[in-house]
Amino acid sequence: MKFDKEIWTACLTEAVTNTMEAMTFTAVDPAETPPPAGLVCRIPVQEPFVGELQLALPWELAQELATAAFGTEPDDPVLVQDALGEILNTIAGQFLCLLVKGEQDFRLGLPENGQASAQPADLTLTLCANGTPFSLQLVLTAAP
Amino acid sequence: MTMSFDVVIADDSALSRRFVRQCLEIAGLEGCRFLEARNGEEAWKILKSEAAVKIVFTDLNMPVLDGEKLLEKVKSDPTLGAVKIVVVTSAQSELRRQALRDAGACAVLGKPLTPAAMATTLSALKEELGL
Repeated sequence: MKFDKEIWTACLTEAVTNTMEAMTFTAVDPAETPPPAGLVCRIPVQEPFVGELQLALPWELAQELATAAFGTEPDDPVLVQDALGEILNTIAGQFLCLLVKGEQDFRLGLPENGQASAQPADLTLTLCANGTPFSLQLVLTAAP
Repeated sequence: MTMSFDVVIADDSALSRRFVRQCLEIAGLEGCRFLEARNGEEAWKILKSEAAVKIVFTDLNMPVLDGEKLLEKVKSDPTLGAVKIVVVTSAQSELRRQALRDAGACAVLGKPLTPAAMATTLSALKEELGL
């Protein structure tokens, strides 16, 4: 497997679009401005490359997405973080599925909330949902 | 489909457990008791203490005890031979699906889960579950 930014960007865009639509009934559009500071959710990729996917978005959008996914407004911030982790987990699974086309196995770690990686991203998608920007970044620790 | 058996839903995400339960209900499974577990270890404890569990829906990627190890434990325990295991996972490459089926999973469903996929799975299992 080789890092091809164009192909990987297309796969990640499709994975985000499908997942957001299926889990939160939310359409995703390209955005020009990066999201303001807010929540960061990260999920490690262990195979077929080593790295991580990071989802960054403002708290208000996180709450909107969690409310859409649960079908009711979460009464606990932990549930908002839970929803983000599951959304990112599903995006990561779809992304890797599209990338390896069933020809290779892949493994993910557990999603966690925290700070963005200090390492610069190899791929950044800036998108918006409900008019609010959010970003997805892929950081490669070991080249595929 | 009004049934009286127990269903275990194992996933570390509350949202994912809710999706599984909603899909089961939309697919027509009624009257079951849904028992939720946040990891494989909790699911294992339920399985060893609740005799009425007929089917387990489990994620793969969970802390403490993951779904693959839970599957292995269930399939190597002769007292749980009749329990069906359905894996619900975002890691759904065909290679992994086949490996899970070889290990004893009766179905592997991808995330995001849909009621249609759940209905197909339940339909395939209706004789074993007595639906």
